[in-house]
Amino acid sequence: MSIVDSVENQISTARSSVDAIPSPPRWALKGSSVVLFIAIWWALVKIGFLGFDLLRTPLETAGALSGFISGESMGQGGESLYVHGYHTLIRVLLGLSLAITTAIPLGLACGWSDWWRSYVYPAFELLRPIPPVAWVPIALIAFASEFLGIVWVVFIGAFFPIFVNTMEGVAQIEPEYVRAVRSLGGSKLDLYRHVVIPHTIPSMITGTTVGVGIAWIAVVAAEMLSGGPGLGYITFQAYRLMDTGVVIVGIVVLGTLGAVSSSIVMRTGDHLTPWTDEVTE
Amino acid sequence: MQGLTKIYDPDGEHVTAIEDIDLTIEAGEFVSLVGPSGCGKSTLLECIAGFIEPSHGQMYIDGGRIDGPGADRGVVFQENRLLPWKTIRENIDLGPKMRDGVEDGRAEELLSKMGIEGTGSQYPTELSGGMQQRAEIARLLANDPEIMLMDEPFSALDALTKEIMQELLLDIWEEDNRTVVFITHDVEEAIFLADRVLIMTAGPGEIKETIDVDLERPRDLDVTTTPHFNELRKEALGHIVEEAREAMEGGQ
Repeated sequence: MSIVDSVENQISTARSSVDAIPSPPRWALKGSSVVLFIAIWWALVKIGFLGFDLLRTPLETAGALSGFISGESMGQGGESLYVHGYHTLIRVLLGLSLAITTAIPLGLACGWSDWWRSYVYPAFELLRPIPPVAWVPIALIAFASEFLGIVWVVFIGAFFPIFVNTMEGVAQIEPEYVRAVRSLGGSKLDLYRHVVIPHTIPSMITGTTVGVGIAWIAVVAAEMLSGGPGLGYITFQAYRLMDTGVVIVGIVVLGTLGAVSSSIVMRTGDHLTPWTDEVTE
Repeated sequence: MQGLTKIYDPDGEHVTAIEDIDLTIEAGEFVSLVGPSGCGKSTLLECIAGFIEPSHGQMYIDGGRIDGPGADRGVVFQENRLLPWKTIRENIDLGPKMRDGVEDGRAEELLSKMGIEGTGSQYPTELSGGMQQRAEIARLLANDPEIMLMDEPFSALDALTKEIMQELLLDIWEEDNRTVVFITHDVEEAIFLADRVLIMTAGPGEIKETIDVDLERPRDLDVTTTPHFNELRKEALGHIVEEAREAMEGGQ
């Protein structure tokens, strides 16, 4: 037995004796991290660290949240949480759907065809560096409606990550797959169907995940600037009125919606790419 | 397949990968191409497959000119090229599906022929390298090509799997009378499999020597221990060593 082997043996014995000490279950560890976070939040409000005494404690927030969930209006004579949530959600869903249905075909075309890459892609490259939120003023003017203006900002925010990722995904196709399908007698259409699109699905999903995140950032910023019902609007409006309960509830609800939407994208992604199962497990 | 193959291939930088090759391969013949790496054997194969166009010269199959890839010439690559997003069954059915239609049960039949029955609903990455290579050959057979082009198909496999695959390939070939062009850098493999071993030279790639392999068929691996096999092997190695030496001297 070599020295390396004997050292490896000793390490593994040591490791197994460490493993033998019972460690607390995973959920307990995860739970304690959440509890710690809530405790710090509570303590900061109680101590009045900087301006924290103006905020609400976790318990007060939970109370306000349950009130709004049961349909109380947010702010004096305002709309309910559901009305605000509905407006925001519709804008995000519409902007995202437009982004997905345009960015994926365009990304495939620009990634696959030299013609598209030379003549169409440069125009997109020109628009890409503009931060989505910077579109808000011009969008509100140009579309002459808050609704369409905000949808545009969401769309433009989600479009580029999906577009760029799809394009990159196509660029990474190994030529051998193309050759394999061609020598099996596949046509150009077959190449799209059996190589280009399936190969690029994981990249499309990555792009969509990023796009969804940006869509939420974009919608909140746009609503803060434009007014009208919406979660971003009410959060900012409540700040002006120093109604910190509504502000914190707004943040919590937006965070939850963001988390739910990205988990939907991930689940859909797993469903669409069964061949990558063992990698994600 | 009859006809003349004659290719010059100076690419953009005028590196001549293969030069002025005349070659006739008979229908049903098993031909091995051996040579040092960079001698243009893959280039030659890619030309026959239609992936690249020769700069000069023509290639004909049964009198018809080669113009791009086609289902009549199946290719097995060195690295496995099963589509990872399709199950083994979908991969095997892909060729027929893209042309006229899938015959029910054909995939299963081929899988059991290749000794990997029951793997149809798995994805390629769930199979070992040897099993993937079997599935890839099954995919090629499903398309029923007249010509099988194989570019070092077994070089990534371990020695034992490789021997099994070689015998399997011979079985398949003897059954269906297909033409095979088989590229390898392994002289023994070349002799064991082929009717004719073509030894290529490097830069520019030319066919230097042809060795007719008159070993009896059907063959199994025992033939590799016979004196006649050894003679052939020595002859082939002699040419290759000579060629390598010339190449080194030429380089100085």
